[in-house]
Parts: sequence; C-alpha cells; structure tokens
Amino acid sequence: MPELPPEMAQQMPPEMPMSPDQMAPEMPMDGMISQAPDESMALQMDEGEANATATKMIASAKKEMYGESFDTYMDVLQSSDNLVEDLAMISISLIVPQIQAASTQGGVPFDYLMDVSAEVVSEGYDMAVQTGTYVPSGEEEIERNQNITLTMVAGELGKEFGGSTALDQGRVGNFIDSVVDGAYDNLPTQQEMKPQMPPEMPIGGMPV
Amino acid sequence: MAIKKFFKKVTKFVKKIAPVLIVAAAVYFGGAYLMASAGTAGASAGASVTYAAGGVGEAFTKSAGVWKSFLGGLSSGTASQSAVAFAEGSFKASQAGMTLSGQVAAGTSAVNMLSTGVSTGEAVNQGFALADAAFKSGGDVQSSWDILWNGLNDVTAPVGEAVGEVAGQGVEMSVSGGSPAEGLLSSPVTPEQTATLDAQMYDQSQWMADNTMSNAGEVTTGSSVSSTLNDSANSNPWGIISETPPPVTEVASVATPETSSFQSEMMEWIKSNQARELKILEDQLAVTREEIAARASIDKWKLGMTAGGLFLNAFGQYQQANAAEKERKNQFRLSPENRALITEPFTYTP
Repeated sequence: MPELPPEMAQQMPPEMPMSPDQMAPEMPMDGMISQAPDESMALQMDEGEANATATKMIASAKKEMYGESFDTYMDVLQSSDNLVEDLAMISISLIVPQIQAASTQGGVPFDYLMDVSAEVVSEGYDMAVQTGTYVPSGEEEIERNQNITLTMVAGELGKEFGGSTALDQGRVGNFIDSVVDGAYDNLPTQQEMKPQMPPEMPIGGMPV
Repeated sequence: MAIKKFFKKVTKFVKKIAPVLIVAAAVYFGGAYLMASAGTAGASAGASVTYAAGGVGEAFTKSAGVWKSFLGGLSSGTASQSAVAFAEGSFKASQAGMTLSGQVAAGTSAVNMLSTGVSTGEAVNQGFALADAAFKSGGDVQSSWDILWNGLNDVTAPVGEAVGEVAGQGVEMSVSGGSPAEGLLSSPVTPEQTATLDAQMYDQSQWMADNTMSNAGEVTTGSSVSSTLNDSANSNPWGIISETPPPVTEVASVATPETSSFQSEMMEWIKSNQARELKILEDQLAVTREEIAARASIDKWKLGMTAGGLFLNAFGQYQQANAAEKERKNQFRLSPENRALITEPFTYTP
C-alpha cells in the first residue's frame, strides 16, 4: 500500500474516536453507515466528508463484488477450503483498492475504516449465502465467522498501515487504552443487540 | 442480468456485525498497526516486555499488553491463527455477557495462550477462562486487568522460561491430580521448585551415567560378574559406586539391584517427562503445520492484494486516459472557434 502524502496525514482528525458519552448524536444522512446510528460508535467522527467517502467506498466495493469481480469471487468461494479466510481475502481485495482510490481523492477516512470493513465483510457473507456457496448452520455460526473474518481483515489492514506514517501511534495507543479502560463498556452486549438486516441490494449492483 | 437468475431466495439470517465486535476488531487493528509500526526489530525486542500491571504513566501501559499479544503471531507467522484466537475469545466473552473491555481481555488472553503451544481451541478456552476469572474477581476494570496481566505473566512470559515452567508444572499437576489447564492457570512453579527439579534431574543423570559405566566395566572384565549394587555397604540411593573394589565371589551371580522408592519415583518421573516432551514435540509439529498452512494462506492474500493493486493501477491509467480523452473532446466541441469549423454533421463512410 502506497504511503500517504504528508498533507493527507495532516488532515487527520486530532483525536481518536471519542467515547460514547462524549459523542454528539449523529446527524441522519443517506448512506449505509448512517442507517445504523449506533454502529461502530468507537470509530465515529463528526465529519460529513469522511462519512460520504466511507459510504462511497462501501458502495464501490459492493458494485465491484457484484459486478466485474463476481465470477472470480464465485470461483474462489466454490473451490474454497476455508471460507472464513477466503472471504477475508476477498474483503481485503475489495477494500484495499478503495483505500487507494480514497487516498488519491479526498483522503482515507481512517475512523470509518472498520465500519467499511465490517460492511464489506458482511456483504461478502451475504453474497456467499445468497449464492449457496455457504450454508451456515445458524445465526451464531455466521456471526462468529463474520467476526473472525473481520478480525483478519483488521489485522491485515493494521499491518499495511503500520508501514506508513499515515496514522499516529499515540492516537492508536490512546484508543486501545480507552477501550481497555472500559470507556466503551456501555455499548450494548450481544444479548441486547437486535438483529439487523442488511440493506437490500438492488439487482445489478449499486447505482453510481 | 445473470446475477438475478443465479440468486436464491435470500436467507434472512445474515446480519451485520455487532458494534461491540467491530470495536474489538478495531483494537486488533490498532495492535497490528502498533506491531507493524515497531518494525521487525522492535517487535522482536518487544517480545521480552512484561506486562505493566498498574504501571501508570508508562507509554503503552495497557495497549502494550494488547500489542504484545500480537507479537507471537508476527514472529511465528501465525497471524491468521492469532486473529482466530482473538475473534473467538472476544466473541465467547460477548456471548457470556462480558463488557467490551472484558471481551478485549479475553481475546488478548487467548492470543497470548497460543504462545504456550496449545491448540487454537484450547487457547481460546484458557484465555476466556483467565479473563472471565479476572473480571469476576476484580473490583473494577483496572484491578481486573491487573489480575489478568499477572496471570498472563505467570503463564506466558517471559518466553525463555516458559518451557521450564511447563515442565515443572507437569510434575506438580501429576502430584495434585489437577488438569493441565488448571495447572497452567493456577499452579505456577516457584523458582525454588524449579531449582529442586533441576537438581533432581542432574542427580538422576549422574546415577544413570555411573551405572552405565559400572556395567561396562563388569562386561569387559568377563571372568566374573559380581553383584555390587545389592551390597549394603557400597550401595547408595544415587548408585554411585564406591572406590573400594567389590568382593569377588566364587560363583558368579547377578542380583537385581534394589531400587528405593525414591528411585522408582524418579524413573516414573523420567518416563512421564519423556512422554510429555514427546507430546510437546507433537504439538509443535501440529503448530508448524498450521503455520505452513497460514503462511500459504497469507501468500495467497498477498497475491490477491497485489493483483488488486495491479488492477487498480491499470484501471486508474485507463480512467485517466479516458477522462483526458473526454475532456479533449468536450473542449473541442465547446470551443466557439472549433464549433465554427463544424459546418455540417460529420459522417463516416468506410
């Protein structure tokens, strides 16, 4: 992954995501992220541009997933020995070009990156289930597998970004410390979560 | 489109990833970032860092612990295995109703458990158990993490002492009758115990060496084989042969040496130790196989990412050329001077 130019690094928000009690209520906006206001609260930042970029990244990734790369991904999934890993690979192959494209346009929305990754991973599983290449035994299995895939994607992206100077180590360290300190412990637990259905995907891909 | 025909009815239980799991994955992202930012040399050096329990004011006070949990994956090439352990640990904790910090603790603990050489499933179970116990016994989040750090230090760090600790714990577990997991989690071996075991191992080795030499000597003399070990005056628990030559009897006889109960215990201990070492080797072999599979998978990922990058480059160049061509055409069409040149519609006749 190419290193970001210094001016982009300077555009980074000065703080890592705020804790939930510090956050202002999110303004409703069109797009997949704003459809679930409490989604990934740790990574929210009050920047419309970043939100728009992230939404565009998701839309473009889905368009790619159901468009030109659909046959390739189907081949991968149908011959897969480890669907969880292969879906992680697919997700990364979809996300990385979007990150590269965003870096050449308005900057990478780092604080939304996990939202984007989660959406792409979830959509990848949706595609696998819809096409019959993956038949999960139940909700828990698919949730566990999605979580593993997302963690794999997160780790790979983290390592990729670790080679550049785009992110500040202090911010990342503070974020981890704040989570570990329990600043996000008031997020709803699994049992309190209501099942959320993914947005309906228009046949033929997302509109441009 | 073909996609429409291909799709089945949508199965309605595919759901989005829960926010808490996304945040947990974000912590993993941060850990991987910090790990990669440190570089290979820094990561290797960091492997010897012990957890700072309650070390307020230190850089990476807690994130260092989380950060360290990924070093195992980096050094052994089992990043995929680490991701599975972290995700499963955090998910298991979430299912148990633990808070987000507890989930991260369980995931971190599970990844750390991988360094003990156990399977991924065992690492998840042990990591979750450790975090669950720490967060149930701790009064607040900070004290819970302190308990967890101490527990992880006992089990996994420093890496160089891990083998000795595990070997020693095996003896203690066999005495107490506890399970290996209980021994790992709750029965750390003190330095005094380790020293005692080392001394016993040395003495046993000496005993075996001396007896081997003694037997060899008896065979080479050939003429008579005497029993020396059953001589109460010369025998001792360690089998060390006295310097005084044994009395030669007229009739050669071989008597079975008496072994004390302590020697029997030592023999049993050696046998069990050998069996345990064999088990460790087998486990290591299994881990190595998993590493090879993980590396192959990572290579596949890299290929995919490289292909994605190449595709993007090619696609970007195409887009740029296309945009430039469109712009040129637009300028040509919009320019009044150029428009004046077009007097009649352009037709092409091959």
